[in-house]
Parts: sequence; structure tokens; C-alpha cells
Amino acid sequence: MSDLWPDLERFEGKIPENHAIEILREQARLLSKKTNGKIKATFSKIDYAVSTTEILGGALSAIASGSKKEVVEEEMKGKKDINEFYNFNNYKFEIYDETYKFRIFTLKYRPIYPIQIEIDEGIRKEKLLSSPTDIQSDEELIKIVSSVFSSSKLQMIIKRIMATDTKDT
Amino acid sequence: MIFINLLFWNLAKNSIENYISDIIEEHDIDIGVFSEYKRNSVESIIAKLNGKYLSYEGMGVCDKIILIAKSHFDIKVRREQSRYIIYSLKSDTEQFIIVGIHLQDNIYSDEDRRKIVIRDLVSDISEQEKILKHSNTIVIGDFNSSPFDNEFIQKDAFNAVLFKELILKTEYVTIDHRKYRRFYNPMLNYISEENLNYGSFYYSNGIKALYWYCYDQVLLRKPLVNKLENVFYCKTIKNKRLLKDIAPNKKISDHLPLIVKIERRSGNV
Repeated sequence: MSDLWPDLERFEGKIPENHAIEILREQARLLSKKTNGKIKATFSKIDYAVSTTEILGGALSAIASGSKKEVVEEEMKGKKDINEFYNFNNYKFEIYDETYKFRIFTLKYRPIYPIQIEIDEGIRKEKLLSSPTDIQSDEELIKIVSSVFSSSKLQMIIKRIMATDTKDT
Repeated sequence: MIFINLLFWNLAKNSIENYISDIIEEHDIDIGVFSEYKRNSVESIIAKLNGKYLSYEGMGVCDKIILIAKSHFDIKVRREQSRYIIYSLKSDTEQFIIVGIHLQDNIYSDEDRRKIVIRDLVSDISEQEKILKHSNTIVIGDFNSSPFDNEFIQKDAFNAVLFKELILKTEYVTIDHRKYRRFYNPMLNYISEENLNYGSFYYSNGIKALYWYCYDQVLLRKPLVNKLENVFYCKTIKNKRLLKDIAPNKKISDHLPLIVKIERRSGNV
């Protein structure tokens, strides 16, 4: 039988490292510093809340329906499924003050590039970006997010929130 | 019985300040939500209403929606994205969450893009209902879809039922271990040949046409379902017709205004 595998020792492909979460969490922290705490930002996972009752209900209904579960060989047990690296999780980047919140973009993130960003419609149109926009590297992420942060629309929103905060104090 | 009177009107970027102030006066509108408005018209409208009303825009995220309300309400912009604004409204007796919305139209977009916005909105509404500790929620606006379209009926979109009995019996539905809260969409109950209440938007082109479309609608959470008194599309304002022949007069607006009456507790609302 032929060996269908390539020469693995000679593989030269580069997999760009993905630091998107660290980059964006730092940007969220920096906004509060730049506005003296008047406007904060958060970069966080979008979680779908499921109550304990529902989790239990799900387990019980799985048992009741006799649903099939994969049988794992003994030597495979306890090993991490690396397919998780290819699954996307949704994150959001939002700015907020005491009463008001605005989501600037959502990010479909996974540990390897490419990932996808979906930007607020108004900012996206101003910057002539597609919906969604694919991102291939940390450098590209930084370029796009810098462009978004410097958009006239976002600058105006931040100024207005600051002005409201000043009026209310 | 005392009512809170809501108005929604897509103004098609026309300068119709007299029509707007007249309809607000004629129907004693408490809260008016407008889309496709001209920013420089708003001051003129407020002036015509003799200081009894104030306007509330967002922070510049959503340039499609503006709210005009009687000045004794305490109103705050809570949440804003490109296609909607979520307001909290307090009177001395009641609180409401009012959502003004204008979804993408069919020329530049499709059902899937509208559902992306809807899912974000539903999540934002749930968050505000938790923060404000009530769900007297009204979503009103131009949805660019009909009451029986997927944007409304899909459980992970608006999850809006067309019949009161369904939401009064069961407010939440569970699909794949996730709970979805219902809205009530009263529009089909109020569309009627008898009352000449056909829809808000007229379109007859293409191989298929409903001719009259109920794109401008209202959705309610369960606590408000039995308080709904009336929903209708207005065809005249102080005896001035808003129709030209059979369809809305585009020189005024290509949409008819939507008026919603909800019973309220007595007090200064």
C-alpha cells in the first residue's frame, strides 16, 4: 500500500499566531484610561445563557430518547479534541457609561486565523469595509481596529457620551 | 379609560412638519417615533407643539430614529445600534421600554441581514428588561417585513405570535435547551377590510404583490397584551387625505402613520 502522507519534516507552512483577544482586551482597558473612567469598554464573549433547569432537562431528554453517543477507544480517552481550534466563538466589543451602551463590533474568533469581524453598519460604510470582514493576521486586525476607532462616527459618539456625562454631573 | 397613545411614522425624508404636529395634536400622541426624518425639521415640530414635547435622539449611532414625547416623561436612551434605539420611559405611575426600529429594506438587503439585527436587538431588550426589572416593552417601527415573515415568526428572531391566547398561555418556548421569550404581534387582528385598515405601504410591482404591506408594526411583551386597545393606520390628518388615489401620497410620505393605543394606569402619563 502507498504512503499517502507528505514528508512532514519538510513542511514549511507558517501558521500566524493569533493574539486577537489580548489585543482587544487591552484596547478595552485603555479607553477607560483615556476618558478618565467616564467611558468604559468591554471585550467579552457573547454567552447564550442556559439555566440549570434546562441543562438538566437536556440531559434527561437525551437519556429518555436513547440518543447515541460516540464510543471512544481506550487509548483516545482523556485526549483534547483539536477540532476546537477550528470552532468559532462570538465576542463583542462595547463601550458604555452609567446608562448607555453601544456595540462597536462583534468578532467571530478562533485560536487560528482567519477570523471575522462584523462592524456597526454606520462605521463600516464610512470605512468602506465589507460585511463581515475577514482578518488574516494580528497586523491586519490592528489596522482594521485602528481604522474603526478613528472613524468620525465613533469619535462623535464618544464626544457626545462625554458631553452627557459632564452635563449630568 | 385612560390611554397612552403611540405614533410611528416613516417620513421618507420629507419636510412635513405641519402634518406631524397636526397628527400629534389630533390624536393626543404621548410618544411619537419617527424614521427617515430630517434633522432640521425636528426643532420646527417642537416649536409648533408649544413646548409641550421634547425630542430624544441617540448619541449618533442610529441616524434613522428619533423619539418625540410629552415633556413630563423621564426618558433616557439606554442602548443604540445602527437600526434601533432602546429608550426607558418613566411616568409617575408606570415604566416602559420603548424600542424604535427601522430595519433594512428589500432593495439593499434580505431576510438574513435583518435577522442578524433582530437577534442583537432581542438580546439587548432582554438585558434592559433585567436591568430595569420590568417588561412593559413596546417595539414599534418599520420592520420592512410582514407579520408572517420569518423575521417575526422564527423563534430565534422576534418569536412573535399572532394570537393573544398563545402568549398568555406560554410566554417562553424552549428549543434545543435554549429559552426564547415571545412577543405578541397584534397586526393581523387589526388589519380589516371592514375598517379599511389594509396596511402602511403600497407596492404593486412584480409578478407577485400583496399590494398593501404592514411593514410598520408594533410588538408587545405579555404584560401589555390585554391592555392593547387599538392599532390603526391613519389615512387623514385633520381632514387632509394622506392617500393619492389608492396609495399613500408620496409627496407627504410613502408610508401611512401607525397609531397604537394602550390602556394605562391613571396618573400623569
